[in-house]
Amino acid sequence: MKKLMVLLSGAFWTAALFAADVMAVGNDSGIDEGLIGLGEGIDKGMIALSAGIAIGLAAFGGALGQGRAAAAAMEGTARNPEANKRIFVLLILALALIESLVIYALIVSFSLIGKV
Amino acid sequence: MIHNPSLFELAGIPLPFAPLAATGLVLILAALLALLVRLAYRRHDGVLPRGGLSLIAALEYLLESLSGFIHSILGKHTADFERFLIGIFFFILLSNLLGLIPGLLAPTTDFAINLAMAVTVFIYYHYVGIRHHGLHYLKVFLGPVWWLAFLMLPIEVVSHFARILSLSMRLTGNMTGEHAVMGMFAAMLPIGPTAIFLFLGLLTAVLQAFVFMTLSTIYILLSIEIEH
Repeated sequence: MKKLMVLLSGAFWTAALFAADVMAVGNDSGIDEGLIGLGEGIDKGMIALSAGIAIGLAAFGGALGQGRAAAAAMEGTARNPEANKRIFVLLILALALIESLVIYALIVSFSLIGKV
Repeated sequence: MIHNPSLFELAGIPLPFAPLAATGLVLILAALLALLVRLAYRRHDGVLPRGGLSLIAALEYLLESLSGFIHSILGKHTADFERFLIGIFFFILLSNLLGLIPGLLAPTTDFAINLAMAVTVFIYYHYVGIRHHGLHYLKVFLGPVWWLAFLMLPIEVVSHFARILSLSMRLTGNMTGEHAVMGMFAAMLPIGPTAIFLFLGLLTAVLQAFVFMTLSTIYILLSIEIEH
């Protein structure tokens, strides 16, 4: 049942993506009207939306990765409190490297905001 | 991108050259620091470290920790490279810390300066590899087996050039992002919670210098130890 719903909704939105094309048979102003006839400012809206989604998704994935690294570091320290300093250094390094991917997305986001 | 005005602009230096002026300021500060250390060691026998809490003692401790850390990665090759690596660390650290002072601009917010450092590290570790191993160093790009060479070569070349991009973009992104966030927050609430972002900026400044140095160390290690 759930799979059927997902499939149907996916089909609906895919059809909606091509709705402008279907409705524009006969006149060529379909492109200017944008998706589902939302208006001329759709380009700027899309850019702003993608800027937000880019950094949002990146932060989500980055947080997951960093959480796993931190969890592993804490477990390692709990097993072997003597290796505290070494594990701390490796943890900080791993966190910075994972964070750098989020920073790349942030740069993309800033560039997109500059284009709005 | 987000534009935060700085004293360099007010002093008449146009924005495209402001990071260069800031770099000059960093170099002057580094030279002053070196002069300070030299004067402090005028009457020193070079055996016992100085006692007491002072800037010189803090610098000694920092240098010892960094050298120990580089030694834990490079092992017996440490002595050849630790000066270069610690120099990179101090330059980036000083540059980043300069950005925390309100009104001054960190030279590391400019992509060109970070790109210059990344390209320097790139050229240097290839030079080290070739000097150490001769032309055998270039065989690494062809991969482990000869019949995969056509596939391995573009992958290796692209990954090596991606290192330049990642090194520079990581530093630039962290510094400009920090600056922008702090600027936005300070515009909203001039005093009070901005101190938290200042602390975060301090943490990021030290961390990014450390990460740049560690990655450079690892690249040098990879170019020296190429036996699988």
